[in-house]
Amino acid sequence: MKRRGLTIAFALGVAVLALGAGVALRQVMDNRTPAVVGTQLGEPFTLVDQNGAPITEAAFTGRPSLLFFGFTHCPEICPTTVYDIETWLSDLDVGPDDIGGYFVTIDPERDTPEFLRDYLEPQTDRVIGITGEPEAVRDMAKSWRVYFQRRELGDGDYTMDHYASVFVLNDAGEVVDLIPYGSNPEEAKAKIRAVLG
Amino acid sequence: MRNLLAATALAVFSTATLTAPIWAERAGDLEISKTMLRATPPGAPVAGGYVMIENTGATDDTLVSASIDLETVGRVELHEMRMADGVMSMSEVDGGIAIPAGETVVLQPGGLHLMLMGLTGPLVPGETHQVTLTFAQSGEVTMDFPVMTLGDVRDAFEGAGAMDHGGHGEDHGDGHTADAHSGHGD
Repeated sequence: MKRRGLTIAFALGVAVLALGAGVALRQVMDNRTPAVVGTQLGEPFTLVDQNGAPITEAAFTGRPSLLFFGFTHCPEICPTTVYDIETWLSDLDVGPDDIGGYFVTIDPERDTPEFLRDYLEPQTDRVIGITGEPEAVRDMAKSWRVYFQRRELGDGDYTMDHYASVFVLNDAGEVVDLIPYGSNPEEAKAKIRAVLG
Repeated sequence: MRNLLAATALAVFSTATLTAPIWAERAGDLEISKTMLRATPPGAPVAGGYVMIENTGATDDTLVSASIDLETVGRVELHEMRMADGVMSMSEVDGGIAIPAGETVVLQPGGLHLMLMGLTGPLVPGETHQVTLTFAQSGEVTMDFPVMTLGDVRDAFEGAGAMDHGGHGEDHGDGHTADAHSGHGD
């Protein structure tokens, strides 16, 4: 009898745990808010910006930043994100001294500094491209827990699957929010306004 | 005098037709509209093309390929972009894009699209290029695809009732995608 009671208590405990895990998982799924928010992501790095100048994690401190990962051979997400960031920041009337914008390529083989500059400069003066030695670039992206995967298209061509949300960083370089691809502009601007303080 | 009136009438008529582009064409049972290419920054090696295809007939059709009359474009493929858990993935659509009987399939930002690859020059707003769509049943259709900015592309597809159609809706299963759609055109 005692054993049976223990068994029931154990089963109940498992059920409660399972329910708890389910609820927690559900909350994560519903909110689409990865556990990264409010945490320190990223390792120190030394890469190059679109002008060929060295750039380190120090670029993400001293003022808030928007950080995203993409590649130029990307028909949709990447130019759209550049367009959106340019539009949001222009609407908010904030300049590069108020908030940084960084586009880290996850396709460093093709995205040389010159290629990134020629791609970004006509679109915006608020977003700086970051690339570098391919392994160092990939290490940097991984340290931000950014998913990316090369996919072959045939004829030696390829595309990249990748995490598409924009990280909103505070002036200490910590992630305080995420702007998913295709966010409502007003929601996106509210998140940026919040980090501008 | 009569000639002048006729000329004026013709001029007015021409202007009217020019400002309201004839943007739909029939090919067999297909009604094709909202043809457009997205403008690219100078260095961009790829671009997207969009179109709305309504199959008014009783026979399924398939968009099997597309081509463009532009030397600065290497080739055109049929692609689909998907978003899941914040990750964008792109792939060529195997076997073409199905245009089922009685349905409307929309190639638009965020989903199915024409993928222009190997660009050696930009697509500039105001330009118009000829794109040939090849269908399994309805054959080849060549139409004008004006180059438009992203803002104009979004406006064009806003309220097209497009979001609930197309062969890609059920694959998303992701809150981001719904946000993406509501965000377009804002």
